[in-house]
Amino acid sequence: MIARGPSPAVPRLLVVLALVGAAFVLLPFLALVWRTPWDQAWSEITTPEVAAALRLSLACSLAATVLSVVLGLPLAWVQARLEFPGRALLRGLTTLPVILPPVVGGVALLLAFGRRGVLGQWLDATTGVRLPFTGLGVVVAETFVAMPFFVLTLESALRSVDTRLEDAARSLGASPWTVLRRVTLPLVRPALLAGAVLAWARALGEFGATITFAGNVPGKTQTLPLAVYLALETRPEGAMVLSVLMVAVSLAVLIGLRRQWVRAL
Amino acid sequence: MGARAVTLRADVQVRRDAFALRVAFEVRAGETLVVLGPNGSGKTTLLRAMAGLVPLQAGSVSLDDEVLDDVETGRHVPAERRSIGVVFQDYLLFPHLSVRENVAFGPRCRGASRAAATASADAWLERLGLAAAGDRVPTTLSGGQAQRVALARALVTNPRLLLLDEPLSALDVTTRAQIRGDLRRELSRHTGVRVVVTHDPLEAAALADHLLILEEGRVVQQGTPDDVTARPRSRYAADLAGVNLLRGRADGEHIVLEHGGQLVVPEAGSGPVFAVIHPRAVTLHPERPAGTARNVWAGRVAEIDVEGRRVRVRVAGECPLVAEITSGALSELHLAVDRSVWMAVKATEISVYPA
Amino acid sequence: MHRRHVLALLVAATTFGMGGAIPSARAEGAPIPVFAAASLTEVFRAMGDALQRAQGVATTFNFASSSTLVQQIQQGADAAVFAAADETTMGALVKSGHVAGAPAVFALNRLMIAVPPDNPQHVVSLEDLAKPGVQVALAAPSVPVGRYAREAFAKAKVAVPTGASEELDVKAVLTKVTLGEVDAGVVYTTDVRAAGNRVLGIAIPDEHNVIARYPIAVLRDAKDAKAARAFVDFVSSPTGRDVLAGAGFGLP
Repeated sequence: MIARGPSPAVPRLLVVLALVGAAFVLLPFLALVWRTPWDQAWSEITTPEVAAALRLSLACSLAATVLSVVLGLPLAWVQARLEFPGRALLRGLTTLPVILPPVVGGVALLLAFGRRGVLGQWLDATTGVRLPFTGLGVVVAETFVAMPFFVLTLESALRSVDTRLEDAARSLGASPWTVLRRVTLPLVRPALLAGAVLAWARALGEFGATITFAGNVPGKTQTLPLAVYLALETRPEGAMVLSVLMVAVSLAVLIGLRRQWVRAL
Repeated sequence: MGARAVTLRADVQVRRDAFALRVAFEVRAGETLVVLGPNGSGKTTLLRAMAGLVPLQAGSVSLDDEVLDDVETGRHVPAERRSIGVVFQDYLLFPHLSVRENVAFGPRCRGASRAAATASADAWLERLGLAAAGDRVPTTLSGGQAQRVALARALVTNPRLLLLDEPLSALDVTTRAQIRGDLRRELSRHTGVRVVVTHDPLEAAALADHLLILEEGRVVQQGTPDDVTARPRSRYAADLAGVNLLRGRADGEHIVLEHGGQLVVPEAGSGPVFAVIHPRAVTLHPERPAGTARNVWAGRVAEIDVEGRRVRVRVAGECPLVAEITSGALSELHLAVDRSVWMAVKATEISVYPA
Repeated sequence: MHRRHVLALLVAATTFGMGGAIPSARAEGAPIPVFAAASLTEVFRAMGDALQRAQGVATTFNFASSSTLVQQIQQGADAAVFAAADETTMGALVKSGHVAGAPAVFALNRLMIAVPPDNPQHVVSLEDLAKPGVQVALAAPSVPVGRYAREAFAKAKVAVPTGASEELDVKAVLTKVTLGEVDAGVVYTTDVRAAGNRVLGIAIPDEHNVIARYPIAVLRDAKDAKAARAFVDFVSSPTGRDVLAGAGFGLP
């Protein structure tokens, strides 16, 4: 088929603006790839600190995603299906981390789960578990900022499910749990995956809440974003290489899962 | 009527946004009750109430000796624990499951093993002529096929109460006519109670052992189809019987109609009445007719429906009526839509009974 | 609201907003932008007030770790004066050609161990920081106080604690201590003083301690070099030195 120009139905201004938008987003990546000292790339990536940061980033973001799904799914379901006083408030609060500056989130987490925190004190006293400066703390910080993305995506999908299909399932003898498992969830599978990918992406890139709550302990809580930030001050070339690494990893996952999540978005 | 074994007993009051539904009836096992009424009359709400999907404001529902709903005692058996099978208006087949998995869904929920459920599903699909469709996805089915799958899915669990919501309305007219007979056959094989809800009088005529006419949440008429068509008390019943139904106030020899016109009828009685005129009793004339007919009106042809040698002509005007004439008469009169025409009815052809 | 009013409002807002972004020749009397190490936060604010009172000149400050500030200046940030917490960081800026003239040391500082007021781990020396179970916060190695701290550990022949959190600047270290999230952090004596009774300071013996030397310089790209010079001169003036001494800084 011969490619023609935009059909008359497409406003030209729209295409121009789209190109500007695309350029706006693509240019920084192109500049990054252009300026990165590729000859130093391998030596930078294979340093033990970077290897540790990469491992930590992947492990923690994955754990944060799993936690986001496990906690976020029931939350999304309750917000979408149950009617109760204060639902709007709950929805606002669970969406808050999306808008909140991550450092503010980190401070709030400290006040709740830090060593002297409201819950953290009790946790330390009864189980000896401390969250700040540990990998677990990183997971908590990342979940805090990432879960709302999952909940938002899933809640919207749950609300658009044809509930009559659930009625049909009930009429066939399905208990509420069976309805959820065999009808509702399969119907929102694309949104489940899209939400999980969004949450994972957010968790991987988290900086402010992580450094405030979990600190910056190389090997234990120094994730890639933190490593990049510090490298920027001492070894900008190293920072560039690490940045490209992060972009490459993220791109690989996003493109690899595109069939799953693009549909839902 | 003597006492008869009642299997489904319902006395329901449900409040919806616009109106209150208030209906009481009984249906025996092996019988099909058809609830007939216009859209918005509360039929679907009634069906959902019997399925347990909608709570009652007052009243009770019991099936055999099991109380499914009783507002006074607070008892409510949820839908998933009722022995029901429902065929929904849009079928509501699960789009993410194959046809076979859809039909096997019910048995699986009730504890059957995958093998047993699949076997039952296949048996039913075969019985309804869908043996080859087992692996297909619902979105690829035709309307008629989807309807049969929905029926199989509802019947495979052997429910004691079968509920059908407008089972044929999603089909085109030709398919509907084909499937109507199949449906009647399948329903008569079912040993439990059957309740069908519809707005189509043809559907009602084909399926009903017992008829309930519902308008604005209230029962307007109930009885066997014969009872109802003999003395129709609503437009629906009249459509069922294929007659013209008029409402008015009788005053000795005249009936003043609701919409303004007037009938001349000997011994009309007095008070509110129904007047039934069979379409065959309506004669059409190109000009005002002379003769003994006392009831004569001018009108305009609104619709012409040819069925072989019989023609049904709907005439709008002072007294809107449907006339039945031969196709020969149609061409003789040069009738067409929007043509003006005169109607006449002999007073003796009008049957009147109290409203 | 009429569409024209909305449009006018939008234009006005954009203009005011952009006013900050579009570089322009600085008008007389505009505040001098000063980039200074985080440990100078309280004392330079006081310095700015004193300058305002004495000469009617206003200043705006950007406090962060010296290494971060160097980054920002090299990327083109609008700064007239730079005050660092060590000569290495200033040296990097001199090397990249951003400094006008020669930097001069204007203040001295020493390190101190900061612990929460109740000192839960009973820390009394640098050695205690290396004990297992003691959570420590240091500044990152690229930050002056982080570098100094590691020097001090080396002098005391104590291993740098494993599991120490590397914070982005000295104030972040202090915050972790005041919040009670760490058992100890290495900061400057002036930071302990500025924190008042929110932290307890543990002295480091002179033979292990490090003397921090703070250089200050006018930047090459300063819009108003005269005003920048005035600030630098004020810092070294008797009034300025009084302010520094009052905050606990040593004087060269």
